[in-house]
Amino acid sequence: MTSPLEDLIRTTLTDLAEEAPTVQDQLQPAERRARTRRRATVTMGAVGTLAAVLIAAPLAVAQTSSETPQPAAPTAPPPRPAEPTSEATPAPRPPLPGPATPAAPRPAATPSPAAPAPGKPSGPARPARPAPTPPTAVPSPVGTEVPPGRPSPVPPGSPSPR
Amino acid sequence: MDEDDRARLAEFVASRTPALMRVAYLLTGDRHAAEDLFQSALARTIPRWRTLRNADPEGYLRTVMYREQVSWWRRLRRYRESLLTGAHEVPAADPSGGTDLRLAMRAALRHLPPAQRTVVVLRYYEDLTETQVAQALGCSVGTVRSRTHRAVARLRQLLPDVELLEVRR
Repeated sequence: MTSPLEDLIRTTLTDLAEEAPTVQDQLQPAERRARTRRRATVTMGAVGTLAAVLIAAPLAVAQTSSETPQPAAPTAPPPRPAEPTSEATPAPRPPLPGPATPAAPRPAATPSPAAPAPGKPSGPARPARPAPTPPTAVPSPVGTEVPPGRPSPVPPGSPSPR
Repeated sequence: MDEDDRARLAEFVASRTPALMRVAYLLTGDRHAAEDLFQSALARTIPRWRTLRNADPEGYLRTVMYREQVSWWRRLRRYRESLLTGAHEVPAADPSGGTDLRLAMRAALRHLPPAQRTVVVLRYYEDLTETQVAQALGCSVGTVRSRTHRAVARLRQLLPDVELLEVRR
């Protein structure tokens, strides 16, 4: 159901459509306009990209230079492993060969998964063995050099002859 | 675009230009604006002709025209042009019955905003449904309804003799 106003609108639009102008060959100007439009799009894209680069490049350089440390600035020393003190109990070590008593642990003798020496082929994984420590001297009475393993001529604690 | 595509495009433009120009003229209400709108829509269609030639190029071109008509950029440019051209002439009274009312309706249609005018043309000249109008303009059905309602109300407001039309019927 249409109202009289809607009928009037339809009639008026139909009359107006009949008065539409007749145009000739709209393809040529439309193609020219399409080329212009494409050229403008490409130009604006290039300009936008260039503007983005010009704006972002100084910011990126500033950001990069602020992240790297200054060459002359003192840097904090890297954390070292805590060295064993005299009171500290030595770390469990594999049994040493020989009767030598275990000496004070040295950093060089500490078993650690050290990297193999350069140039040497890395063999199968073996537990690192500590370097043999030099034999320590056994305390003995002063003046009497007794070879180890022999009874001393003077027993300690015996009264000396006067 | 090869020669075959160009020949088909030229044939399409030559065969459909009168109908599309009628719609463009109804949408704009001005000869030069209609020509400009049609050329602009055609310029947007030409780069996509290869994908459209086997589909529905006329539907695409019509949709481009509808949306171009209600676009913000075109509205801005049209506002500048309307300041220069005197497109708001008031029709003189005509003693013949009904003619003055039609002339008044033309003037009232010219006073509608582009969005409302486009909805009126699509609804009452193209005879599209509200859903089809919404799809063509890329808006919701509620928007189409509200624009149609406002357009008809505006036309009633601009036509002082519309009550006489109701009485005559």
